[in-house]
Amino acid sequence: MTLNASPHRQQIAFGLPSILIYFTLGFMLIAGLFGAALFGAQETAGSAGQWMTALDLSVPAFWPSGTPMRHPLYIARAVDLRHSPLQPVGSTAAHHSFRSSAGCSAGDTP
Amino acid sequence: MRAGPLFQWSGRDLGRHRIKAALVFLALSTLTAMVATVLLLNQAVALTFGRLLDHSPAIIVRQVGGGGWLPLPAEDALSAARAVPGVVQPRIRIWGVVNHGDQAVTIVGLGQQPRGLLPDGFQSPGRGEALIGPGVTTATGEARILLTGQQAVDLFVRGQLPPSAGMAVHDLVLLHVDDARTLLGLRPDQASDLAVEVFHPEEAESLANVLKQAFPWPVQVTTRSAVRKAYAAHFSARGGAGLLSFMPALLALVLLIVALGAWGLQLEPDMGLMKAMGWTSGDLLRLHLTRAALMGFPAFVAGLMGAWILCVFAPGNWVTRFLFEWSGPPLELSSQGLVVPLALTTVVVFFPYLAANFWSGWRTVQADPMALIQGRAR
Repeated sequence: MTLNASPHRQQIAFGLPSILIYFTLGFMLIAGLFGAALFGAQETAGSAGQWMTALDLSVPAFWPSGTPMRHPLYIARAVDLRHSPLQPVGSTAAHHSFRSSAGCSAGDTP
Repeated sequence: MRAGPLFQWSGRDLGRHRIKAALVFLALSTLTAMVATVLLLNQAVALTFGRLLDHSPAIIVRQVGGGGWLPLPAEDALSAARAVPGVVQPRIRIWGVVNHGDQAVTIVGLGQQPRGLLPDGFQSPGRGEALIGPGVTTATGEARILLTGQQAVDLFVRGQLPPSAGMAVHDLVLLHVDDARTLLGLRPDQASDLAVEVFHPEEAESLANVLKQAFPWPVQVTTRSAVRKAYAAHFSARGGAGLLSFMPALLALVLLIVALGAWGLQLEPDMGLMKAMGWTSGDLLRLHLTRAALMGFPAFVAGLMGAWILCVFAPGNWVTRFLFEWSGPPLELSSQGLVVPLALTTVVVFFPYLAANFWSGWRTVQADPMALIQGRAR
């Protein structure tokens, strides 16, 4: 670009390519993102859902068996797990929610 | 000033500083991708969990005592549940947790299979047989599995459940109901718990209270919606903790903002010249923000796109395996699942970026043109 270039040529040389590049890039990314969101959502839980129905499972196997998060109702209510050092942080949150919202009333337990 | 020339001038400025623009683009997109990946993955786990929970029984009734769970008298429990109007399909469940080696597995007793054949062409195991989940391993070359509960039971492994169903059956062992009772120490007239459906799903909560009074022994009644709420709270807390873990990344954002400020200093003489030539302060501020948006918006979207690709299309699920030790099938993520992570990432990353640019632009346009030209504005 030389100093005596016309304003019109300056505009083409400096402005349009950058605008075209950035907007094309932005548009492609947005279109790709929402296209993937709308059409690319994978129904991977289908088979697992059928097994859950067939076996009457209460909770998916996202956590290992024997842990409070996997079977929160299976844990003896006489045990308070808040201070268990073996549990990862927050792992007993759901368990305590059950105790407060769906647990037995005081009269049910000795 | 009209928008067209603003974009042209902004593009021109970025073109003059290609390397800096590319570095800011890279920094912002990387930061966005890091934050969004954690949020999207957490959302994907929560969404997938919620969809699977739709397949669980509407209400579970367990007999409880001072020490926790107690076996349920099967026939009495079924009779009591059938007497409650609105309750449909009451059925007993035989299941529990036993040891396999030094690991715990969940066993499910089948025999009086209430809902037809098992999915994927599997048949219920007979006496002495077991179907094991994809996460359960046996000794090399052996097709037997030794489970230890109230008693030890040695079973022939007839097959392995499909890995595609791993979200539900990862560490499950399916066996005949009599074997399950032996392992769990249940008498033939006892069950682990009772599952029921409700005629109107919206009545589940109120039916839970009725059911609680319908049994002659203390019971714990749990509805699907209570389970859903409890786990939703857990996932929400987990997402917040994940976001907190990225607090150090905000340092990167601060450095980015400092870099943008330094860049703005270099552009001040140009701004001063424009102001002296008749550009208004509003024009200059708009130019400053347009330039920031022209660079920042594609970078932000690129970061989100990168996070999306990592979460959903990453080969071998290496991201989920690294962050969650998840080795199962890919998690689900729909357009609904995008909203919360997108909003949070915007608040955490993009708004501070725009605010920093607004702040530096505002300070610049308020200065005297000659001070800007001579670099004495600050």
